[in-house]
Amino acid sequence: MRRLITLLPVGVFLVLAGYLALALRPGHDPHELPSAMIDQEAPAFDLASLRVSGRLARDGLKGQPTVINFFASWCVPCRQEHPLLMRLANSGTVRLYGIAYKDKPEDSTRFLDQLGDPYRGIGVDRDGRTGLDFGVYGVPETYVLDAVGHIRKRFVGPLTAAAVDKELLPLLRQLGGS
Amino acid sequence: MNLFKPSWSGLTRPPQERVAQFVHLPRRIEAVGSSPTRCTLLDLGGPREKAFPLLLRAWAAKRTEARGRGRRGLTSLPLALCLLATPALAVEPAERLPDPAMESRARSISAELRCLVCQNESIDDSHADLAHDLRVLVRERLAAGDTDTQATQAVVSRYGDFVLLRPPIKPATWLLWFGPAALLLVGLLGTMAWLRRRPVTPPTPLTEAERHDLDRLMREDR
Repeated sequence: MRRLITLLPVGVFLVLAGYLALALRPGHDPHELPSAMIDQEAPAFDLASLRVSGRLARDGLKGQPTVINFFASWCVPCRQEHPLLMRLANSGTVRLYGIAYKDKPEDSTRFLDQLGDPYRGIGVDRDGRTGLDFGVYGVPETYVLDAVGHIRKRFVGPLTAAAVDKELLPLLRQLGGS
Repeated sequence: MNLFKPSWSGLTRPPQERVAQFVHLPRRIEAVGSSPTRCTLLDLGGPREKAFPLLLRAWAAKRTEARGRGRRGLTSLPLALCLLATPALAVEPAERLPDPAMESRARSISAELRCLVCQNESIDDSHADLAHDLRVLVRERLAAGDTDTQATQAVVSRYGDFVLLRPPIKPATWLLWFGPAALLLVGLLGTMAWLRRRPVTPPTPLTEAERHDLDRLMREDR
């Protein structure tokens, strides 16, 4: 009993050190937050389309799983993830839509002209209100919606090849199959 | 670790915000210079600001007088300016609600909400673009007749409990709220148990020789 008590500080230290090591592990970003709206219905939006006439609205996207990517021409990491988005678009299996967050339409158009347009449709969120409703706190952010329009996953920051192959595509397969 | 990876959080704000982050002072000076309604350094309209032109004139008059006597009265101006300085406000005049009571409710709600970009600042203090959007959202909800709780909830439903600078008390946060007090209690109980169990040996009385020595020492001391 007495020996156990003398070992107590060591135990407390180990627990604390383990906890701190967990927070410092490589690949862990303390700024990353889970979406508050996981498994809830995506907020309604109805935005003017970029480039083509018409609108991009939440209710028009229901029926199949959908990926929504918030981007902006002024955002450097968006350029970083762009090749991955092109890959997703070219695979033909992913319904990828874009929302231009706080960006001038002419800037977004130039951005897509330069790098290619991976989106099936793009909504213009000039004042960032739709982003605010989704809980976006920086671009890029990517949301996966299921067929009934519930948010199933959020990716904060640029997508990586690993995130796409290990999380995004399997989730889409699972949603498509169910 | 890849050092060349761009820091995501630093690069994802709209450009003007990014510039203001790194070049804080020029932005403020520009704001003061370009239009008085966007002044962030001095809160125009308060009694101290109304005193500003008078103070400048008083100082100028004093300086000419001092010059006439061959002295320079330069020391008083910086002092006067220091007295005029107020903390820079993040809330821009255009955001403010016309009703002062509602505006003060909005201010106190904002002070309790975390800015997601800066993460250790409230949206009431932060100059980030997102903080501005959230301040406007809170004010919109209040203007639409929401209670304080409902307006706060509108932000929490989007961004989660993390936006609350004061986390709610629920089972998941019990450790956070009561952990320190519990640790203190454990420490107190442990100390008390230890003090009680410590063997108490009654003091042994002095021997004859010791008493003799003590008497001698006391006499010498006198």
